[in-house]
Amino acid sequence: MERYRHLIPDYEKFLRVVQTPAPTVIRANTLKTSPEVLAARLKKIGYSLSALGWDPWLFTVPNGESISSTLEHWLGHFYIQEATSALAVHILDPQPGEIILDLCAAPGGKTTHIAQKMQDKGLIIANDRTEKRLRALHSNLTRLGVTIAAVTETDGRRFPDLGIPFDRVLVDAPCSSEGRVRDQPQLLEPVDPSFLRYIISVQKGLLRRALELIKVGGVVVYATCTFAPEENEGVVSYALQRLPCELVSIELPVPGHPGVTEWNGLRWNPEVVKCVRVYPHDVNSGGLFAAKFRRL
Amino acid sequence: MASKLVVPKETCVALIKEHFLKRFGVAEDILNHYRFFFRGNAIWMTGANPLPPWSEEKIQRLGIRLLRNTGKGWKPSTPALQLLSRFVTANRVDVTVSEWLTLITGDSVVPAQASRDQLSPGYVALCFKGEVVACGYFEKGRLVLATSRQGVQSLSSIFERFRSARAEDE
Repeated sequence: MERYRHLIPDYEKFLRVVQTPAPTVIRANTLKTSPEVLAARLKKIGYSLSALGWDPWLFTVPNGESISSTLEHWLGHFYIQEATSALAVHILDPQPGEIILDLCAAPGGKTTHIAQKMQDKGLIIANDRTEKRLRALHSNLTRLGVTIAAVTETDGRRFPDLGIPFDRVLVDAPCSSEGRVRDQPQLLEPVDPSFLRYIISVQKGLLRRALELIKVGGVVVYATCTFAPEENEGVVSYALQRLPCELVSIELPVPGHPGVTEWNGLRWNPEVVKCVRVYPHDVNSGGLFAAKFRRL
Repeated sequence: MASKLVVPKETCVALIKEHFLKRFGVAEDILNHYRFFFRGNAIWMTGANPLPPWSEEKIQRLGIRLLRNTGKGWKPSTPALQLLSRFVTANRVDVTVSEWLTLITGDSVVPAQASRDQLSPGYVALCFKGEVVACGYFEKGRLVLATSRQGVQSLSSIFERFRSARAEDE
Protein backbone atom coordinates (compact mmCIF):
# COMPACT_ATOMS: atom_id res chain seq x y z
CA MET A 1 0.00 0.00 0.00
CA GLU A 2 3.03 2.25 0.35
CA ARG A 3 2.64 3.41 -3.24
CA TYR A 4 -0.57 5.12 -2.22
CA ARG A 5 1.04 7.29 0.47
CA HIS A 6 0.56 10.42 -1.64
CA LEU A 7 -2.77 9.35 -3.12
CA ILE A 8 -4.88 8.47 -0.11
CA PRO A 9 -5.82 11.41 2.14
CA ASP A 10 -4.80 11.00 5.79
CA TYR A 11 -2.67 8.00 4.90
CA GLU A 12 -1.60 7.25 8.48
CA LYS A 13 -5.22 6.97 9.60
CA PHE A 14 -5.91 4.79 6.57
CA LEU A 15 -3.07 2.47 7.59
CA ARG A 16 -4.36 2.24 11.15
CA VAL A 17 -7.90 1.46 10.02
CA VAL A 18 -6.98 -1.20 7.45
CA GLN A 19 -5.16 -3.14 10.15
CA THR A 20 -8.38 -3.60 12.11
CA PRO A 21 -11.20 -5.91 11.07
CA ALA A 22 -14.16 -4.30 9.30
CA PRO A 23 -17.44 -4.32 11.21
CA THR A 24 -20.11 -6.79 10.18
CA VAL A 25 -22.85 -4.99 8.30
CA ILE A 26 -26.25 -6.40 7.39
CA ARG A 27 -28.83 -5.12 4.93
CA ALA A 28 -32.49 -5.61 5.81
CA ASN A 29 -34.26 -7.38 2.96
CA THR A 30 -37.28 -5.19 2.33
CA LEU A 31 -38.75 -7.82 0.01
CA LYS A 32 -39.48 -9.85 3.15
CA THR A 33 -39.42 -7.54 6.16
CA SER A 34 -38.84 -3.96 7.25
CA PRO A 35 -35.66 -2.59 8.85
CA GLU A 36 -37.60 -1.77 12.01
CA VAL A 37 -39.09 -5.23 12.38
CA LEU A 38 -35.75 -6.88 11.64
CA ALA A 39 -33.90 -4.74 14.21
CA ALA A 40 -36.54 -5.49 16.83
CA ARG A 41 -36.46 -9.24 16.14
CA LEU A 42 -32.70 -9.43 16.28
CA LYS A 43 -32.58 -7.31 19.41
CA LYS A 44 -34.98 -9.76 21.05
CA ILE A 45 -32.48 -12.56 20.54
CA GLY A 46 -29.51 -10.55 21.74
CA TYR A 47 -28.10 -8.63 18.78
CA SER A 48 -27.65 -4.96 19.48
CA LEU A 49 -27.70 -3.48 15.99
CA SER A 50 -26.70 0.09 15.21
CA ALA A 51 -28.24 1.88 12.26
CA LEU A 52 -25.63 3.10 9.80
CA GLY A 53 -27.48 6.37 9.37
CA TRP A 54 -26.85 7.02 5.70
CA ASP A 55 -28.92 4.05 4.54
CA PRO A 56 -32.04 3.00 6.46
CA TRP A 57 -31.60 -0.62 5.35
CA LEU A 58 -28.07 -1.02 6.78
CA PHE A 59 -27.04 -1.92 10.33
CA THR A 60 -23.74 -2.79 11.96
CA VAL A 61 -23.51 -5.85 14.17
CA PRO A 62 -20.95 -5.87 17.00
CA ASN A 63 -17.88 -7.84 15.92
CA GLY A 64 -17.63 -11.40 17.06
CA GLU A 65 -21.37 -12.00 17.01
CA SER A 66 -22.16 -14.65 14.43
CA ILE A 67 -25.45 -13.65 12.92
CA SER A 68 -25.66 -16.14 10.08
CA SER A 69 -27.06 -18.97 12.21
CA THR A 70 -30.27 -17.16 13.01
CA LEU A 71 -33.78 -17.92 11.87
CA GLU A 72 -33.95 -14.44 10.36
CA HIS A 73 -30.97 -15.23 8.13
CA TRP A 74 -32.51 -18.53 7.06
CA LEU A 75 -35.74 -16.74 6.23
CA GLY A 76 -33.86 -14.25 4.06
CA HIS A 77 -34.65 -11.23 6.19
CA PHE A 78 -31.14 -9.84 5.77
CA TYR A 79 -27.92 -10.08 3.80
CA ILE A 80 -24.42 -9.79 5.28
CA GLN A 81 -22.25 -7.40 3.29
CA GLU A 82 -19.70 -4.58 3.32
CA ALA A 83 -21.20 -1.13 3.78
CA THR A 84 -19.43 0.26 0.72
CA SER A 85 -21.04 -2.40 -1.49
CA ALA A 86 -24.33 -0.61 -0.96
CA LEU A 87 -22.89 2.57 -2.45
CA ALA A 88 -22.51 1.04 -5.91
CA VAL A 89 -26.24 0.28 -5.94
CA HIS A 90 -27.08 3.76 -4.65
CA ILE A 91 -25.11 5.18 -7.55
CA LEU A 92 -26.78 2.85 -10.06
CA ASP A 93 -30.18 3.97 -8.69
CA PRO A 94 -32.33 1.21 -10.23
CA GLN A 95 -36.07 1.85 -10.42
CA PRO A 96 -39.06 -0.52 -10.28
CA GLY A 97 -39.99 -1.82 -13.73
CA GLU A 98 -36.60 -1.23 -15.32
CA ILE A 99 -34.40 -3.71 -17.16
CA ILE A 100 -31.01 -4.06 -15.49
CA LEU A 101 -27.90 -6.01 -16.43
CA ASP A 102 -25.57 -6.97 -13.59
CA LEU A 103 -22.61 -8.11 -15.63
CA CYS A 104 -20.50 -9.59 -12.80
CA ALA A 105 -23.26 -10.51 -10.40
CA ALA A 106 -21.96 -13.29 -8.15
CA PRO A 107 -22.24 -13.79 -5.22
CA GLY A 108 -25.33 -11.59 -5.47
CA GLY A 109 -25.08 -8.93 -2.76
CA LYS A 110 -25.58 -6.12 -5.24
CA THR A 111 -28.05 -8.08 -7.38
CA THR A 112 -30.35 -8.69 -4.42
CA HIS A 113 -29.95 -5.06 -3.37
CA ILE A 114 -30.93 -3.97 -6.88
CA ALA A 115 -34.01 -6.22 -6.67
CA GLN A 116 -34.97 -4.53 -3.41
CA LYS A 117 -34.66 -1.10 -4.97
CA MET A 118 -36.85 -2.34 -7.81
CA GLN A 119 -39.38 -3.82 -5.36
CA ASP A 120 -38.97 -7.07 -7.30
CA LYS A 121 -40.59 -5.47 -10.35
CA GLY A 122 -38.92 -5.39 -13.75
CA LEU A 123 -36.13 -7.63 -14.98
CA ILE A 124 -32.57 -8.23 -13.83
CA ILE A 125 -30.16 -10.22 -15.93
CA ALA A 126 -27.60 -11.45 -13.39
CA ASN A 127 -24.53 -12.73 -15.18
CA ASP A 128 -21.23 -14.20 -14.07
CA ARG A 129 -18.67 -16.47 -15.61
CA THR A 130 -17.64 -18.71 -12.72
CA GLU A 131 -19.75 -21.71 -11.85
CA LYS A 132 -18.58 -21.77 -8.22
CA ARG A 133 -19.53 -18.13 -7.70
CA LEU A 134 -22.84 -18.66 -9.49
CA ARG A 135 -23.82 -21.23 -6.86
CA ALA A 136 -23.64 -18.50 -4.22
CA LEU A 137 -25.66 -16.21 -6.48
CA HIS A 138 -28.40 -18.84 -6.88
CA SER A 139 -28.48 -19.43 -3.16
CA ASN A 140 -28.75 -15.75 -2.28
CA LEU A 141 -31.44 -14.99 -4.88
CA THR A 142 -33.47 -17.90 -3.53
CA ARG A 143 -33.02 -17.05 0.14
CA LEU A 144 -33.88 -13.40 -0.33
CA GLY A 145 -36.95 -14.20 -2.43
CA VAL A 146 -35.92 -12.41 -5.63
CA THR A 147 -38.20 -13.54 -8.46
CA ILE A 148 -37.23 -11.11 -11.25
CA ALA A 149 -33.67 -12.30 -11.85
CA ALA A 150 -32.57 -14.39 -14.81
CA VAL A 151 -29.13 -15.89 -14.22
CA THR A 152 -26.72 -16.37 -17.11
CA GLU A 153 -23.21 -17.79 -17.23
CA THR A 154 -21.13 -15.95 -19.78
CA ASP A 155 -17.87 -14.05 -19.94
CA GLY A 156 -19.24 -10.53 -19.57
CA ARG A 157 -16.80 -9.24 -22.19
CA ARG A 158 -18.69 -11.33 -24.73
CA PHE A 159 -22.20 -11.00 -23.35
CA PRO A 160 -24.48 -11.50 -26.36
CA ASP A 161 -26.44 -8.65 -27.84
CA LEU A 162 -30.00 -9.88 -27.56
CA GLY A 163 -31.66 -6.62 -28.42
CA ILE A 164 -32.61 -5.92 -24.81
CA PRO A 165 -32.94 -2.18 -24.14
CA PHE A 166 -31.08 -2.17 -20.82
CA ASP A 167 -31.90 0.87 -18.69
CA ARG A 168 -28.87 0.39 -16.46
CA VAL A 169 -25.83 -1.85 -16.37
CA LEU A 170 -23.66 -2.50 -13.34
CA VAL A 171 -20.07 -3.53 -13.94
CA ASP A 172 -18.84 -4.60 -10.52
CA ALA A 173 -15.54 -5.52 -12.05
CA PRO A 174 -13.08 -8.13 -10.82
CA CYS A 175 -10.06 -6.26 -9.49
CA SER A 176 -7.02 -6.49 -7.25
CA SER A 177 -9.47 -6.14 -4.34
CA GLU A 178 -7.22 -3.92 -2.23
CA GLY A 179 -10.31 -2.44 -0.60
CA ARG A 180 -10.83 -5.80 1.12
CA VAL A 181 -7.50 -5.57 2.89
CA ARG A 182 -9.17 -5.51 6.31
CA ASP A 183 -10.42 -9.05 5.79
CA GLN A 184 -7.45 -10.24 3.73
CA PRO A 185 -4.23 -8.72 5.18
CA GLN A 186 -2.11 -10.31 2.43
CA LEU A 187 -3.53 -7.61 0.16
CA LEU A 188 -1.18 -5.16 1.89
CA GLU A 189 1.54 -6.62 -0.36
CA PRO A 190 2.11 -5.03 -3.79
CA VAL A 191 0.00 -6.35 -6.67
CA ASP A 192 1.83 -8.58 -9.15
CA PRO A 193 2.39 -6.44 -12.29
CA SER A 194 1.40 -9.25 -14.65
CA PHE A 195 -1.88 -9.72 -12.79
CA LEU A 196 -2.44 -5.99 -12.95
CA ARG A 197 -1.99 -5.99 -16.74
CA TYR A 198 -4.35 -8.93 -17.08
CA ILE A 199 -7.08 -7.56 -14.84
CA ILE A 200 -7.00 -4.15 -16.52
CA SER A 201 -7.62 -5.80 -19.88
CA VAL A 202 -10.57 -7.70 -18.38
CA GLN A 203 -11.97 -4.50 -16.84
CA LYS A 204 -11.69 -2.61 -20.12
CA GLY A 205 -13.41 -5.45 -21.94
CA LEU A 206 -16.28 -5.54 -19.44
CA LEU A 207 -16.82 -1.79 -19.44
CA ARG A 208 -16.62 -1.65 -23.20
CA ARG A 209 -19.25 -4.39 -23.53
CA ALA A 210 -21.53 -2.69 -21.00
CA LEU A 211 -21.39 0.56 -22.94
CA GLU A 212 -22.11 -1.30 -26.16
CA LEU A 213 -25.15 -3.06 -24.67
CA ILE A 214 -26.78 -0.15 -22.83
CA LYS A 215 -29.53 1.82 -24.54
CA VAL A 216 -28.83 5.41 -25.61
CA GLY A 217 -29.35 7.60 -22.55
CA GLY A 218 -28.95 4.60 -20.24
CA VAL A 219 -26.64 4.46 -17.25
CA VAL A 220 -23.58 2.27 -16.72
CA VAL A 221 -21.89 2.16 -13.33
CA TYR A 222 -18.35 0.86 -13.22
CA ALA A 223 -17.24 -0.09 -9.72
CA THR A 224 -14.23 -1.76 -8.15
CA CYS A 225 -13.02 -2.35 -4.63
CA THR A 226 -9.43 -1.42 -5.34
CA PHE A 227 -7.44 1.76 -4.81
CA ALA A 228 -5.28 1.24 -7.91
CA PRO A 229 -5.78 4.19 -10.29
CA GLU A 230 -4.71 2.03 -13.24
CA GLU A 231 -7.81 -0.15 -12.64
CA ASN A 232 -10.04 2.81 -11.97
CA GLU A 233 -9.40 6.18 -13.57
CA GLY A 234 -7.23 4.45 -16.19
CA VAL A 235 -10.10 2.18 -17.30
CA VAL A 236 -12.61 5.05 -17.19
CA SER A 237 -10.34 7.22 -19.36
CA TYR A 238 -10.08 4.37 -21.85
CA ALA A 239 -13.88 4.22 -22.14
CA LEU A 240 -14.24 8.00 -22.47
CA GLN A 241 -11.73 7.98 -25.29
CA ARG A 242 -13.12 5.00 -27.20
CA LEU A 243 -16.88 4.89 -26.66
CA PRO A 244 -19.86 7.26 -27.04
CA CYS A 245 -20.39 8.10 -23.40
CA GLU A 246 -19.99 10.81 -20.80
CA LEU A 247 -19.42 10.79 -17.07
CA VAL A 248 -22.19 11.87 -14.72
CA SER A 249 -21.47 13.51 -11.36
CA ILE A 250 -22.14 11.32 -8.33
CA GLU A 251 -23.66 12.42 -5.05
CA LEU A 252 -22.64 10.19 -2.19
CA PRO A 253 -24.42 9.87 1.17
CA VAL A 254 -21.00 9.39 2.84
CA PRO A 255 -17.65 11.20 2.76
CA GLY A 256 -15.76 10.51 -0.44
CA HIS A 257 -13.10 11.87 -2.75
CA PRO A 258 -13.04 12.74 -6.46
CA GLY A 259 -11.22 10.60 -8.98
CA VAL A 260 -7.58 11.48 -9.52
CA THR A 261 -6.38 12.98 -12.79
CA GLU A 262 -2.70 12.20 -12.30
CA TRP A 263 -0.60 9.98 -10.12
CA ASN A 264 2.83 8.42 -10.21
CA GLY A 265 3.64 10.03 -13.57
CA LEU A 266 0.38 8.87 -15.15
CA ARG A 267 -2.32 11.28 -16.40
CA TRP A 268 -5.97 10.66 -17.12
CA ASN A 269 -8.93 12.43 -18.69
CA PRO A 270 -9.76 15.50 -16.55
CA GLU A 271 -13.41 14.35 -16.49
CA VAL A 272 -12.49 11.54 -14.09
CA VAL A 273 -12.88 13.99 -11.21
CA LYS A 274 -16.57 13.06 -11.51
CA CYS A 275 -15.72 9.55 -10.29
CA VAL A 276 -15.71 8.80 -6.58
CA ARG A 277 -13.26 7.13 -4.24
CA VAL A 278 -14.29 5.96 -0.80
CA TYR A 279 -11.60 4.70 1.55
CA PRO A 280 -11.95 2.39 4.55
CA HIS A 281 -11.30 5.24 6.99
CA ASP A 282 -14.07 7.34 5.39
CA VAL A 283 -16.89 4.97 6.34
CA ASN A 284 -15.25 2.30 8.50
CA SER A 285 -15.76 -0.29 5.79
CA GLY A 286 -13.94 -1.49 2.68
CA GLY A 287 -12.87 0.62 -0.28
CA LEU A 288 -14.85 1.61 -3.34
CA PHE A 289 -14.23 3.32 -6.65
CA ALA A 290 -17.18 4.14 -8.88
CA ALA A 291 -17.82 5.92 -12.16
CA LYS A 292 -21.26 6.66 -13.57
CA PHE A 293 -21.57 6.86 -17.37
CA ARG A 294 -24.41 7.96 -19.58
CA ARG A 295 -24.48 6.43 -23.06
CA LEU A 296 -24.59 9.03 -25.82
CA MET B 1 -26.20 -27.58 -18.49
CA ALA B 2 -29.65 -26.17 -17.88
CA SER B 3 -32.46 -27.64 -19.91
CA LYS B 4 -34.89 -25.63 -21.99
CA LEU B 5 -37.57 -23.49 -20.39
CA VAL B 6 -41.09 -24.37 -21.44
CA VAL B 7 -43.94 -21.95 -20.96
CA PRO B 8 -47.03 -23.93 -19.91
CA LYS B 9 -50.43 -23.62 -21.52
CA GLU B 10 -53.09 -21.59 -19.74
CA THR B 11 -54.78 -24.79 -18.59
CA CYS B 12 -51.56 -25.87 -16.84
CA VAL B 13 -51.21 -22.47 -15.18
CA ALA B 14 -54.77 -22.82 -13.92
CA LEU B 15 -53.88 -26.21 -12.47
CA ILE B 16 -50.83 -24.81 -10.69
CA LYS B 17 -52.95 -22.08 -9.11
CA GLU B 18 -55.67 -24.55 -8.23
CA HIS B 19 -53.08 -26.83 -6.56
CA PHE B 20 -51.84 -23.99 -4.34
CA LEU B 21 -55.38 -22.95 -3.53
CA LYS B 22 -56.57 -26.44 -2.63
CA ARG B 23 -53.43 -27.62 -0.88
CA PHE B 24 -52.23 -24.46 0.84
CA GLY B 25 -55.14 -22.06 0.66
CA VAL B 26 -53.15 -19.54 -1.39
CA ALA B 27 -55.69 -17.36 -3.21
CA GLU B 28 -55.30 -17.46 -6.98
CA ASP B 29 -54.91 -13.70 -7.29
CA ILE B 30 -51.69 -13.89 -5.23
CA LEU B 31 -50.17 -16.04 -7.94
CA ASN B 32 -51.52 -13.87 -10.75
CA HIS B 33 -48.52 -11.61 -10.17
CA TYR B 34 -46.20 -14.38 -11.37
CA ARG B 35 -45.57 -16.26 -14.58
CA PHE B 36 -44.72 -19.93 -14.63
CA PHE B 37 -42.63 -22.28 -16.71
CA PHE B 38 -41.41 -25.84 -16.69
CA ARG B 39 -37.80 -26.89 -16.57
CA GLY B 40 -37.08 -30.59 -16.26
CA ASN B 41 -39.33 -32.01 -13.56
CA ALA B 42 -39.92 -28.64 -11.88
CA ILE B 43 -42.20 -25.64 -12.18
CA TRP B 44 -40.64 -22.24 -11.63
CA MET B 45 -42.28 -18.89 -11.05
CA THR B 46 -41.05 -15.43 -11.88
CA GLY B 47 -42.26 -11.90 -11.40
CA ALA B 48 -39.95 -10.71 -14.22
CA ASN B 49 -41.66 -8.31 -16.57
CA PRO B 50 -40.69 -8.25 -19.34
CA LEU B 51 -39.48 -11.81 -19.63
CA PRO B 52 -35.99 -12.15 -21.06
CA PRO B 53 -36.32 -12.16 -24.84
CA TRP B 54 -34.72 -15.56 -25.12
CA SER B 55 -35.97 -18.60 -23.34
CA GLU B 56 -33.33 -21.16 -24.02
CA GLU B 57 -30.40 -22.92 -22.44
CA LYS B 58 -28.61 -19.61 -21.90
CA ILE B 59 -30.67 -18.98 -18.80
CA GLN B 60 -29.53 -20.96 -15.78
CA ARG B 61 -32.50 -19.89 -13.74
CA LEU B 62 -35.38 -17.47 -13.87
CA GLY B 63 -37.21 -16.63 -10.65
CA ILE B 64 -37.55 -19.29 -7.97
CA ARG B 65 -38.56 -22.91 -8.05
CA LEU B 66 -42.17 -23.36 -7.03
CA LEU B 67 -42.85 -27.09 -7.33
CA ARG B 68 -40.97 -30.25 -8.14
CA ASN B 69 -42.38 -33.62 -9.01
CA THR B 70 -40.88 -36.05 -6.51
CA GLY B 71 -42.90 -39.09 -7.45
CA LYS B 72 -44.84 -38.63 -4.20
CA GLY B 73 -46.55 -35.60 -5.66
CA TRP B 74 -45.73 -31.98 -6.36
CA LYS B 75 -43.39 -30.76 -3.64
CA PRO B 76 -43.32 -27.01 -3.04
CA SER B 77 -39.86 -25.57 -2.49
CA THR B 78 -39.04 -24.19 0.93
CA PRO B 79 -38.17 -20.72 -0.51
CA ALA B 80 -41.49 -20.60 -2.37
CA LEU B 81 -43.41 -21.50 0.77
CA GLN B 82 -41.48 -18.85 2.70
CA LEU B 83 -42.23 -16.27 0.03
CA LEU B 84 -45.94 -17.09 0.17
CA SER B 85 -45.82 -17.54 3.95
CA ARG B 86 -48.55 -15.12 4.94
CA PHE B 87 -50.91 -16.45 2.28
CA VAL B 88 -50.49 -20.11 3.24
CA THR B 89 -53.57 -20.89 5.30
CA ALA B 90 -53.99 -24.64 4.86
CA ASN B 91 -51.73 -27.58 5.64
CA ARG B 92 -49.48 -25.46 7.80
CA VAL B 93 -48.40 -26.70 11.18
CA ASP B 94 -46.47 -25.09 14.00
CA VAL B 95 -43.53 -27.13 15.28
CA THR B 96 -41.81 -26.70 18.65
CA VAL B 97 -38.04 -26.42 19.11
CA SER B 98 -37.74 -29.97 20.38
CA GLU B 99 -39.83 -31.23 17.46
CA TRP B 100 -37.63 -29.30 15.01
CA LEU B 101 -34.56 -30.92 16.55
CA THR B 102 -36.16 -34.33 16.03
CA LEU B 103 -37.11 -33.57 12.44
CA ILE B 104 -33.58 -32.38 11.70
CA THR B 105 -32.16 -35.76 12.69
CA GLY B 106 -34.36 -37.34 10.03
CA ASP B 107 -36.89 -38.76 12.46
CA SER B 108 -40.62 -38.12 12.29
CA VAL B 109 -42.82 -36.44 14.86
CA VAL B 110 -46.48 -36.80 15.69
CA PRO B 111 -48.09 -33.38 15.79
CA ALA B 112 -50.63 -32.53 18.46
CA GLN B 113 -54.14 -33.81 17.77
CA ALA B 114 -55.50 -30.34 17.06
CA SER B 115 -52.82 -29.73 14.43
CA ARG B 116 -53.15 -33.22 13.02
CA ASP B 117 -56.82 -32.67 12.35
CA GLN B 118 -55.97 -29.69 10.16
CA LEU B 119 -53.56 -31.63 7.95
CA SER B 120 -54.16 -33.88 5.00
CA PRO B 121 -51.59 -36.35 3.68
CA GLY B 122 -48.95 -34.77 1.44
CA TYR B 123 -46.57 -31.84 1.54
CA VAL B 124 -47.12 -29.27 4.29
CA ALA B 125 -45.67 -25.97 5.48
CA LEU B 126 -43.69 -26.41 8.71
CA CYS B 127 -43.80 -23.28 10.84
CA PHE B 128 -42.11 -21.87 13.90
CA LYS B 129 -44.04 -19.34 15.94
CA GLY B 130 -46.38 -18.74 13.03
CA GLU B 131 -43.79 -18.30 10.26
CA VAL B 132 -43.24 -20.80 7.48
CA VAL B 133 -39.73 -22.16 7.91
CA ALA B 134 -39.54 -25.22 5.66
CA CYS B 135 -41.40 -27.81 3.68
CA GLY B 136 -42.44 -31.03 5.37
CA TYR B 137 -44.37 -34.18 4.52
CA PHE B 138 -47.34 -35.55 6.44
CA GLU B 139 -48.28 -39.19 6.18
CA LYS B 140 -49.97 -41.69 8.50
CA GLY B 141 -50.26 -39.08 11.22
CA ARG B 142 -46.53 -38.28 11.26
CA LEU B 143 -44.47 -35.34 10.00
CA VAL B 144 -41.03 -35.44 8.40
CA LEU B 145 -38.80 -32.65 7.15
CA ALA B 146 -38.62 -32.29 3.34
CA THR B 147 -35.82 -29.84 2.63
CA SER B 148 -32.31 -30.05 1.19
CA ARG B 149 -29.36 -31.54 3.09
CA GLN B 150 -27.77 -28.09 3.19
CA GLY B 151 -31.02 -26.71 4.56
CA VAL B 152 -31.06 -29.35 7.27
CA GLN B 153 -27.56 -28.29 8.36
CA SER B 154 -28.60 -24.64 8.61
CA LEU B 155 -31.77 -25.48 10.50
CA SER B 156 -29.77 -27.64 12.86
CA SER B 157 -27.54 -24.70 13.87
CA ILE B 158 -30.55 -22.43 14.25
CA PHE B 159 -32.59 -24.70 16.48
CA GLU B 160 -29.58 -25.86 18.51
CA ARG B 161 -29.09 -22.18 19.31
CA PHE B 162 -32.72 -21.86 20.30
CA ARG B 163 -32.35 -24.83 22.61
CA SER B 164 -29.17 -23.59 24.25
CA ALA B 165 -30.49 -20.07 24.61
CA ARG B 166 -33.75 -21.40 26.02
CA ALA B 167 -35.39 -18.82 23.80
CA GLU B 168 -38.53 -20.74 23.11
CA ASP B 169 -41.66 -20.01 25.05
CA GLU B 170 -43.65 -23.05 24.17
